[in-house]
Amino acid sequence: MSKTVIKFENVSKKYHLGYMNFNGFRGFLPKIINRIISTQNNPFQNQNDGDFYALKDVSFELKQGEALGIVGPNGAGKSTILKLLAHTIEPTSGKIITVGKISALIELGAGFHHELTGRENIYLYGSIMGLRRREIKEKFDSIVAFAELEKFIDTPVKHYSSGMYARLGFAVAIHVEPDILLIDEVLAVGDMNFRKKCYERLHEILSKGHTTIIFVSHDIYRVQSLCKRTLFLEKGNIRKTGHTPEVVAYYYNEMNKAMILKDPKAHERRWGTGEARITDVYLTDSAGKKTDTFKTGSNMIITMNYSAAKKIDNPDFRFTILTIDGVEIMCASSVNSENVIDFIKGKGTVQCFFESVPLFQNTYTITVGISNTDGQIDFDVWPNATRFIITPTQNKDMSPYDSSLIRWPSKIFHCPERV
Amino acid sequence: MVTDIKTLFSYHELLINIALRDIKARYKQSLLGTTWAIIQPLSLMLIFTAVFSKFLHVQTGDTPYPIFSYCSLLPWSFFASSLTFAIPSLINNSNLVTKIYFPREIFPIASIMSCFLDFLVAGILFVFMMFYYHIQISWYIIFVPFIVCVQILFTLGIAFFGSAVIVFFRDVRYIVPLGLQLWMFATPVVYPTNVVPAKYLSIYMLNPMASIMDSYRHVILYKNPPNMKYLGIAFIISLIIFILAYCFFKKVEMKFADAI
Repeated sequence: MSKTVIKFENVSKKYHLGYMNFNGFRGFLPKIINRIISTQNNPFQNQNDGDFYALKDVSFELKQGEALGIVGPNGAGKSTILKLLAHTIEPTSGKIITVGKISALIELGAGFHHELTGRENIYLYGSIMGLRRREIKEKFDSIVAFAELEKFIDTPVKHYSSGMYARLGFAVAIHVEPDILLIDEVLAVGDMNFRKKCYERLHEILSKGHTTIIFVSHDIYRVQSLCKRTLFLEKGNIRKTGHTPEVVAYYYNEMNKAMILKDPKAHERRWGTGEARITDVYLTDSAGKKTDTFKTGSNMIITMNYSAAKKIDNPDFRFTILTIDGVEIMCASSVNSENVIDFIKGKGTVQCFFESVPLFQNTYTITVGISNTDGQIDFDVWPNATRFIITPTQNKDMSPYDSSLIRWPSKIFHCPERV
Repeated sequence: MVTDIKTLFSYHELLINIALRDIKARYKQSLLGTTWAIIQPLSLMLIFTAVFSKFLHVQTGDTPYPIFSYCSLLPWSFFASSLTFAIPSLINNSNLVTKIYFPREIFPIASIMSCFLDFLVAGILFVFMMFYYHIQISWYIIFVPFIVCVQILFTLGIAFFGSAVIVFFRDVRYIVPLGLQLWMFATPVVYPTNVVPAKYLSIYMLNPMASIMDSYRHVILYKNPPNMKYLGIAFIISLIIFILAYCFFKKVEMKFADAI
C-alpha cells in the first residue's frame, strides 16, 4: 500500500492587487508594520483594493509514485501550487502536507551563477537542491554525461547556449533523486534529442515507483504520456480532476468555448482565394445521423458542402484529422483517392468515408480545405472546422497507455526458448 | 530560535557553497583578484593619513597615523562591506528565494563569510605594517578573536534586519551607503577616542562599533586590556540586536517570496 506523500486541504492563496497605497503619512507607519508582521488579512487594507485569489479552496492528494499533470490557461494558479509545494510561500488558509525531499525543476538553472564554470555550478546547484558534497562527487560524472557537456565543463556558464544551460540544470535536478519532483514547463528548451532523453528519464524514474511527480505543462501530449491523473485549474479553482484523457478532453472543450466567447469569429477564421468556398462541414455516423461522438471501430462520414463561383479543374478536397494540440494524424485527399474529381462549378457536396475508425479515446479536430491539384493555391482552408470525440466501447478498445492514439491491429506471439 | 539555528547548521554545506560562490564570483574576470581586498582599506588609509595626519594634524600619540588608522579601517571595511553585500543578498538572489526553500538567513550569512575572507587577506598587510613600525605585541592580543566575534554578532544582527526589510522596502538600498558613511564618522575609525568630549563619551560608546574599534586599538596598539565596561555593553547590545533581528527575520521569512 503506497502512502500519501502530498496532501492539499482546502488551500487558498490570496494576494492584494497592486501596491500599497498609503493614506498620507498618518497611515504610513501602521501599514508598514502591518505589512511586515501580519500573516493573513491586513486590517488596514481596504476591501476595495481588490483581493485576488491565486488559489481558492484547492484540495487534492497524491500517493507515492503517482504523477499528476496540472493543466490550465495562463494565470490559473499552476505555478502557485508548485511554489506552495516547494515551501517558498505559505497558503493564506488551508493545510499542505508533503513527505520527503522535494526537488523543483522550476526555471532550469535558476541557481546557476554566470561567472562560475559548469563544474562549480554543479556543486553549487547540487547543494541548493539538497545534495551533500560527497553525493555530488559520486554523481558528478553521470551528471556531466547526461548533460553531454564533457568538453565545456570548465567553461564559465555565461558562455553556454541556452540549451546547454538547460541541459546542465536538468541533469543536476534529475540526479537529486527526490521523493517529490516538481516540473514547471521547463523542458521546452533543449533540442529534440535531449528533450526525448529527459522524458525517457522521467518515465524511468516513475517506473521505479519511489518518486512522485507533479508536472505543469501546456504540452497536452506530454501530460497524457506522463500522468495518469490530471488536474484542470482555472482562475485558482479546480475545474475538473481525474483520469487524464477525460480531463484533457474537458479542458480542451472549455478552452474552445472560452476562445469562441472571447472571439466569436475565431471559428470562422480561414484563409484562401475564395474561388471556392466551404459552406458547411458536419459528421454523421453510418446510419446518417449527425453526431460528434464516435466509438473506436465505428464508421464516420465527414460531409462538406461547397460552392464554387467559377469552374475549377481537378480541385483537391482535403480532410485532415488532428489531435487537439495540433498534431496531424492522417490526411485524406481527393486527388489521391480512386474517385478523382474532374471539375467543380456551382454548389455541391463532398463526402469522406472512414471505415472503422482506428482511434482511441480522445478528442480530435478536423481541418478541411479545397485547393488546386498540386496544392499551390488554396481556395479555402478551414482549420478546426469541426471536432469529434472518441469514446471507448469495450476494454480492448482502451488504449494501454493513455497517450496512444491509434489502434493498429496487431498480434503478439510468445516463443520461449526450448531447453 | 534554537531549532532555527539547528536547522541552519544542517545546511552548513550549502552555506559554505554559497559563500564560496560569492567569493569566486566577486573576483572572477578581474586582473587583481583578491588583491582588491587589500587595496580598498590601503587606499583609504593613505588618503586619511594625508588629510588627518598631514593636513589636520590629528594627534595619535606614539602610534604612527598609518597603522593607527589601518588598525580600525580594516575591521571597519569588514563591517561596511559585510552590510553592503549582506543587506541586498536576498533580493539579489530572488530567483532562488521564490523557487526553492532553504533557510533564507544563509544568504546574508554567506555574504558576511565571504567578506570575512577579504578581512583576513587584508589582515596580512596589517601584520607586515606591525613589523615595519616595530609595534610590540602584548598578551592582550588574545582578546582580538573575542572582539571579532562581538563585531560579527553585531554585523549579523544588522544584516538580518536590513536584508529582511529591504525585501519589502527598497528604500533601504539608498539608506545603506549613506548610513555607513555617517556611521563611520560616529565611530573612532579615523580619529582617536580621546578627542570625544568626556561628557558625551558614555552616550558615544553606546554605539557598539565605537567600543569595538576602541578595543582593537587598546589590545593591539596600546598594549592595554580593552575597556571591559564598554566592550561588555557592546556585547550585550549586539546580542540583543542579534536575537531580535533573527527572530524578526524568521517571522517574516515566509513572506519573502511573495513580496520580493
